[in-house]
Amino acid sequence: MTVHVTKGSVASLEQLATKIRDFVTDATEHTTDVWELIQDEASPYGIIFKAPAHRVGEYQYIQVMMTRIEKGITYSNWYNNSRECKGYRPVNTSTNTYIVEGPNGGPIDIFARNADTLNFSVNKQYSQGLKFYEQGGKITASNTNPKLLQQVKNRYTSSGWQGFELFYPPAYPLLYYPKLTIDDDHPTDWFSYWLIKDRCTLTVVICVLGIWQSISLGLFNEIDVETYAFPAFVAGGNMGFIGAGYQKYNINAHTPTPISGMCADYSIDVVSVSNGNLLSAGKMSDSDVGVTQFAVMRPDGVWTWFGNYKQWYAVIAGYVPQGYVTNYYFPSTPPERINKYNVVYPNNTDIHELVNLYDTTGKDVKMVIPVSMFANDPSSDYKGVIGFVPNNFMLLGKPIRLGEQLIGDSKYLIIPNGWENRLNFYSYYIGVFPLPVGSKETSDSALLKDKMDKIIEKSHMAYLAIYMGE
Amino acid sequence: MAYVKYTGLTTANSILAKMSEYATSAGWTVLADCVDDLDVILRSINDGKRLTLRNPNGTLFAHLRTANGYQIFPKQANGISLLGATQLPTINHNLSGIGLTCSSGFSSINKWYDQDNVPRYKNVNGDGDVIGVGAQTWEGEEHTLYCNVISTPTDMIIFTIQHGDLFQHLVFGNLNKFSTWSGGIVFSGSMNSYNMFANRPIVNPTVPDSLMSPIFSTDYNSNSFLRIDMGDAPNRGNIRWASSGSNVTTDAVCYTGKQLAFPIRTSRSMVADIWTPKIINWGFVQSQAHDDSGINCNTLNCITVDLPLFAAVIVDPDDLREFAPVGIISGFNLVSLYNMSEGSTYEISYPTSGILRQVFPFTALAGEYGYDGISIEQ
Repeated sequence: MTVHVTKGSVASLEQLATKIRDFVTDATEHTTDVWELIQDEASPYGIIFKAPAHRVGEYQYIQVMMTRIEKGITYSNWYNNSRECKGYRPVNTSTNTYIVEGPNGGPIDIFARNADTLNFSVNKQYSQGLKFYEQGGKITASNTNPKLLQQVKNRYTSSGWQGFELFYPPAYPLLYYPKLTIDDDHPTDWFSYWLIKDRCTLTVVICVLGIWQSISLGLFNEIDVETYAFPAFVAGGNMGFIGAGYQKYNINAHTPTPISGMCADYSIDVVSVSNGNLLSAGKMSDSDVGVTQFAVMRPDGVWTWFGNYKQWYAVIAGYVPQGYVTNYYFPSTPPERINKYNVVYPNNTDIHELVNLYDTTGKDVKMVIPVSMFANDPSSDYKGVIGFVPNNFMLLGKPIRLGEQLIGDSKYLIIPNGWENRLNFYSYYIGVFPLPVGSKETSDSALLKDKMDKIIEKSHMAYLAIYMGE
Repeated sequence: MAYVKYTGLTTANSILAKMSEYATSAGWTVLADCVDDLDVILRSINDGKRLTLRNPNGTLFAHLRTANGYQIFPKQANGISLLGATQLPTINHNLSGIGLTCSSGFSSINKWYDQDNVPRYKNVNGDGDVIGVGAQTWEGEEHTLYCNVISTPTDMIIFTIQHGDLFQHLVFGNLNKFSTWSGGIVFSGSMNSYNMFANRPIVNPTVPDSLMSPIFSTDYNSNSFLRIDMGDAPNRGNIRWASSGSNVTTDAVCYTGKQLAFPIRTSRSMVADIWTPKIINWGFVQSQAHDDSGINCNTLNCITVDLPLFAAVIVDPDDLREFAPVGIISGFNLVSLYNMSEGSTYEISYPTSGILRQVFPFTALAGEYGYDGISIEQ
């Protein structure tokens, strides 16, 4: 498959979307592999390309959409106004009034900060007038249990406040699309990008302030070429899922009730298994089931998720010496390996003892290993080695440097899982006079503590090598 | 090259004769053609035959020896210590089979296994007892021998001995190296030399084939050995061979002093133990139990996926436990034999590719290793 590459720098994800549009539709560059632009609109509709599928005469629809996430506004607007959320907006009865606790009668925000997000998807169909997340064959998370940040529903009667109930809010529809993100807390004038395209796939890589994000999407090379009708995948980027929470006192309560769930933090350096390249994709989930940044369409047309790690959060009480709980903390727990589910080979197991090729002539000989998908979905009979991700490889051992380099006769773009020497987990300390969550223990002033400093698999990271041609 | 099948073989010696016949036809040189050989204990009686083969470009010597009631390696379960032995033990007809070891030279004068640079047990002075692999046979009962050869890019001969439902393999050849280093001879067998007669497997689906290991796998006991000259580390001796098991120095493990790792695993090598290699492995796709098909096939239409088989060795210093990939076993792949029959050939890439592979279970279908097996290029 011929690979076409372009690179450069841009000032925003909005500009990057334009670069993608201009590149993939350039007939001079791609000749017969060119993609056709069939829609070019702003959020919530997006840019849509009609791209060839594996078999002649068949097509796929590649979607790219830039969406701005504003903390306190985006989710609340959607919650209060969209038809999807109708059932979640409290209905007042003759005796009870329900008020959702959040700014302006909206929910507590599930987005942690302001950010630009560039969302990607692959669809079977295209219809004019449908939003990005309404197109036929859209990515859905219907078979997962997202457990988003729980919301508070206060109940009032004529005699006043009667306490509160908790409920899981609906998922914002773009939540489950793999995305590139740049948050407002990491302002930058420009950043580098690479676009790598072949007939059926596109890989987008950005490096913002030394932090790498990459997304590949399109159709993967399925092993069963006869009956696998639509082997679509979208993999990589930053889903930003983290555990979060707050607390609330109920009537006559001495201690607050912890209220927690999953939030989306699109900070480029968010420490979450759902922020990373496709080799280290992971899920914020308290079970093996959950959403990762690696979506794959099963042969039966249902989207499923592949990943190598899972992570959840803990609810930890901070005590004062008198024995009361005054504060709760919601730190992430160390990532664990997913043992029996859909995994991404070859990083599906602890590989920290694997190093570079053995060579006695003093040469630094590198090798890359194709990335494939091992399906083992216990909820269905979907099992097997299903295919390979085009142009994506794992580098054996540690690179001397990041970025473009020659391996054998081919050029590859070597990128880390986020940033160089990233750990899978950073230890934190929670004490009586609480230090900020995430900070290290600094003194023995703590009387009680709950310390979790286990770092799984030390600091080994799998490096992604993206094929850039001969 | 298409496989050759010999049936109706009832003795280890008759199997060995067919091995010689096949190797000759495959272009290998026979240096000792099933010649009578003195016992390894006292050198007093002819108790078996030896066969030495050399590959076409002369880089590897494979030594095979039949056992007919006496041990054939210096250290074997149900054998005796050769040191100070003054008389032959009582003949034990369970000690029947074929042993294999490899070297980089050949002498017809020495004991069959006492050759240039054969693998040995870990020993600081480099003179530990010789190690090899073996297959057990059952005197008077019918065996079938399947023979395969791979010629490009490296040489390899694969002998598969069938007895009832049970398949045992003896493989020797050269590794297809990734890079530049000294060595490359690799051989494997269903049991290592110590375990060769450790028990007498009964042939039925619940066989105690647990003392056998999948060929070219990482298991607790080594059954694959790779010649790789790792230099002279201080206080370690000159280690020339790597062994595929743990780094424990008990006799049954057959540890040479350097660990070799393959992605094919057993339940014993999937545990979180210090010795288990933390490298890419296929434990996830292999059979997890006797009746588990594994997931090394596509459920839509039972396509088995060939996964290329690489080898990795701990590089110096040992304490860092850094496994460096060294090469690939060519023409050989891990397959799931779910919906495939042993010894048959299949066109491996659906729907048509013209690429034929012969498939065998590691030991027995629905045995210790479930449906895991190998496919061999034809």
